[in-house]
Amino acid sequence: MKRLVYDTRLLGGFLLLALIILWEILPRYGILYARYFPPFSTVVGAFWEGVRSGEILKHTAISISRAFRGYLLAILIGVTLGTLTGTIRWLSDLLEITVECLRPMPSVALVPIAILLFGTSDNYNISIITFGCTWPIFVNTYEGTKSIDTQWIDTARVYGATRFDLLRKVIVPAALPYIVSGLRISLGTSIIIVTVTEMLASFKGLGYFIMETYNAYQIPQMYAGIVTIGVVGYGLNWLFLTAGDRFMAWHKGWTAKFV
Amino acid sequence: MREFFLTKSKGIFFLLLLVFSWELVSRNKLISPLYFPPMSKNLVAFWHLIMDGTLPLELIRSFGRIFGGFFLAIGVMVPLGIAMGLFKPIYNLFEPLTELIRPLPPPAIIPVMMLFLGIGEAMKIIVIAFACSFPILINTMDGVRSVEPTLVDTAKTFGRNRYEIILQVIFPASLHQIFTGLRVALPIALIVDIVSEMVGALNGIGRFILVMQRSFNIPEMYAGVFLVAIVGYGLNSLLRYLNTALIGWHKAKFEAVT
Repeated sequence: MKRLVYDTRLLGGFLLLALIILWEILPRYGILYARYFPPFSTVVGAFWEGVRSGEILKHTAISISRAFRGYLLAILIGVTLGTLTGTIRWLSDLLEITVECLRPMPSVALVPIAILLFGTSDNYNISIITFGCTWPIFVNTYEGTKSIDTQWIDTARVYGATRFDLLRKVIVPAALPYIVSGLRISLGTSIIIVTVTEMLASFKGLGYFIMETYNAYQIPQMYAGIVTIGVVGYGLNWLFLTAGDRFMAWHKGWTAKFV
Repeated sequence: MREFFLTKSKGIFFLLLLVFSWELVSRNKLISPLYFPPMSKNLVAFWHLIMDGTLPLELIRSFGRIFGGFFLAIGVMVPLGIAMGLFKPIYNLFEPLTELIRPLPPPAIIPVMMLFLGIGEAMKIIVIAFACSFPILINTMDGVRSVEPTLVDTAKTFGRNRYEIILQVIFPASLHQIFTGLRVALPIALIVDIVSEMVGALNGIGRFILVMQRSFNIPEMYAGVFLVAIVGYGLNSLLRYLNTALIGWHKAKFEAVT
């Protein structure tokens, strides 16, 4: 007898729909405390209101700008240091232990130090973001330059490549998939850290917005802020992967790493 | 031992040089000694706080939260990951939901949890468990899926039933990948614990650092930061050690078969 096979692909969509309906109904009938857990439509309304009045967009722009500045600085430091330590032996010997001591350090523990240094200016957020984002990029770049087939370097040398040529035309391109995978990890990290630093000590940005609305007991607005952070995280990751598909397609390491 | 010093001497020298220049720069007031007290002062504060039991007590409280959340996440997510890896309908049921929640930075749910649970232990344990969940879930799922089919077929040939196959073949064979998830999750647990203690707590190491900064006990603040650095380093080394122990066993058992 043939067993009936149901198509289960839509199950997940149904679960989401069911959760949203429950989110709407349970607070309305007082099963969940509506003050703390407002109905879905109220949160959507607060989100829409925040977008229309420009308040959420303003905080979003500030958070993204901080995250990006910290992220770009981390790329600069991470890729440079990673390439240098990966290619120059004595430099990696020199820095290894210091790096091993600093790397497992949770970046948020540095928040009070950064506040002492920078107050609540943007530099406070940016310095913590840079600290947290540098390590994945640095380590991946280092691993990438280490993984290069020495034959490629020898071949380039035979054809008369200078040190700079080697770096620009062989080492960095070959290490690129590693670097990109470090960049992807750090992108997520930058969003987390910008949120955290803003929650702890800032007067602008999405992290500040959710703490402020929490303190002012504007609960629908608070949920709207949390949803916005989720959307930003999702969107940036999507952008990164799309751009990666576009620009990294030439490298056989790309597809292997991301499927 | 001699070889160790020959290869590591440069690195140790560099680290000591950094510490020493901190001391000098601060003593000569090139940077504000109020914000960057001399290293010796910080270390003395560190020593005193360890000896009078302040830091160890805060650390024990934080560890309770970290491991509470970590093990809660393991208890829920490893079985769920195995189920999602094995059964297509369960995968289809939960996949869109996880994809939707995953990009959310875990600390963003702290205010929600504070509404429902206050600033007690439960809030932190739930937030930490939430943050640890996704690396554990995804790695467990991947591990279960990448189990060599030969292993499962062999077990079937020898007449094992479904439960025996899951418990005796699939779970041990995916243990290596599950452990990768745990290795990613534990440092996250430490970070999220510190954040949640800074946002809302009465004690714990994250709270301690923040309170010391606000009351301008700067050497004490650095002492707390040093402790966090040591804990981070210690957890990292522990996991690395456990991993080699585990991989050795895993390789011997499963790569011989396939």
